[in-house]
Amino acid sequence: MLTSGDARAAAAAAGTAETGTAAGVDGVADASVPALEARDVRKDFGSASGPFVALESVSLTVAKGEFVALVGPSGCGKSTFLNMVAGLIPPTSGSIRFMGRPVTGVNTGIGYMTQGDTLLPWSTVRKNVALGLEVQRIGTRADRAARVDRILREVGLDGFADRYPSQLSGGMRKRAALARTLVYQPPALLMDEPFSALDAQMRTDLQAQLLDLWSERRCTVCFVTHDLDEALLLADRVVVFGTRPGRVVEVVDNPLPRPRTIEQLRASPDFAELWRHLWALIRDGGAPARPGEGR
Amino acid sequence: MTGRPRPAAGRAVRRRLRSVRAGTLAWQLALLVALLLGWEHLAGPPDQGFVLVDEFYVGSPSEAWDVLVEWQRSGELWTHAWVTVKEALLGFALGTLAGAAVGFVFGVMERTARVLSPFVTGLYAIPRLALAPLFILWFGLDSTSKVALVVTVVFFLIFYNTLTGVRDVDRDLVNVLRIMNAPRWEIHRRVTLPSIATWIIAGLRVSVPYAFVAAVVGEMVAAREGLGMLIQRANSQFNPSAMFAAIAVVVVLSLLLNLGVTLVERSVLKWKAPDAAAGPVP
Repeated sequence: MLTSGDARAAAAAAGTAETGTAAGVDGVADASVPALEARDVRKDFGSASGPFVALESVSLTVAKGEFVALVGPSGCGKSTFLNMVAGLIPPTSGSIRFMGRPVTGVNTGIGYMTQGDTLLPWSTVRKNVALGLEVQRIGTRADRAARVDRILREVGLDGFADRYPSQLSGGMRKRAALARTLVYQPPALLMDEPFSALDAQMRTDLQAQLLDLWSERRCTVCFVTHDLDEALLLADRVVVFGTRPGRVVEVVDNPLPRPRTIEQLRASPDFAELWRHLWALIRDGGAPARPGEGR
Repeated sequence: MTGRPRPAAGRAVRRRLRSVRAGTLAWQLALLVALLLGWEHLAGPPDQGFVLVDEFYVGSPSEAWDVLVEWQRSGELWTHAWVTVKEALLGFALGTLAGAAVGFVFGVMERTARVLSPFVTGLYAIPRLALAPLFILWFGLDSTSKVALVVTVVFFLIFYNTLTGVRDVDRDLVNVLRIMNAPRWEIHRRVTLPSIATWIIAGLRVSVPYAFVAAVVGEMVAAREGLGMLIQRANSQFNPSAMFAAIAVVVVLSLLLNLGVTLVERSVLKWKAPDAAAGPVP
């Protein structure tokens, strides 16, 4: 399974881990190479009624350290796209390069927070969050414990470290999964609606924390969301997907000045303008791009 | 926050659970006593009133009790029970280890599993009782032949449960570890093994009575010691009460081992939600 490209990517990732927190993005390769380069990616899924086109001719380039939001109606293939970037499923055609190397197997250079509940049910919150650190042998035991404690505090789960996932609410499980993804500091993050199950205040807190972390470390982030406010608050660019077939309708630059807070944005006419533009794209993106094709 | 449990409420829940359990136990005892009383009074000499069944065929609980007391006094009870317990436990342990190990390998190595699966299914179809005389021929009259019989029974129950467990492992959890660049053995240690533990324990529970049944059947075929030998002896003496006495011992031993499995389950599967763990066992 493991190709030489894979092995190199893994070695690069391991190198980053060893040089510690400062290495971040620069440890992987030079800055001119984009973090992510998808070219003409298509994904078909077989079904009883013939192949179903989940994504068609998606091309997208994400620079290192860039924060990109993926928005669009359900069923537009955003999660499928992330799964392909993670190397969990191969594209039917087209190519995906991560840090300059083709993704041919599982992409170990990313941290992936999926939509589903993927905490290990038999491990405590602490064990779950420490998973990446332990598996990759990052730091000493004491280091790891300190990092886990800090991130648990940041996501408001201190005091729940010794609980099992079945003893937590849905929102708390989401936060534990978030902590697990962030704590071992992968060079790029794929996040599939990480905050959707949270109440408004928790979401605002965690958005602010994610922005802090991102501006500190400048890791690359691909962030799927349904929430346009969230997309405009967090991202440098917003990629709007449409359905039937899933495709990129438009990539919208978000020039709103940083640091941003949701209060500032709400008062800004530029924000309102961008929001309306995105909304119009999503509304129209649901219609077939070319009638007669697709389904 | 909804998920925050309140200790006081937890204690109340536990108290209620305890009282429910006490009620259940009371009903169980009442039912047992009713059954025994019914048996005692409806069986007897055929010419008396209220007698439904001739005691020659079914014996009676009081006679069975007398037999037990007699066996206890002569020391026979403990000798024979211990022999059967040893055979059942040893076969249970060996069968579990082998079944779990082979089941795991089959689950992980899909190609090997495909090639070998008709052979395993074929072996599973062998009536194990038919093997008993063969095992006695191979391993002699003593415990070894009975242990072997128990292993052949327990092995398959655990094997199939483990195999199903490995195939049932949540791919999403495996992917979490793969993305973290975890080596294969780490994935097995952190995902596969904990996730098949539930299945293996379910297999253990099913295996407990079978382990005793296999040991006893082996002893009934040919043995110098053991509860099965007692049953066989009682049979040849037309003494149903003695037979039921020996059977009662087997049942009690089986229940005790079942209790042991429950304790293991509680410590291994403590991560399951408390209310889920209190529910019926699959």
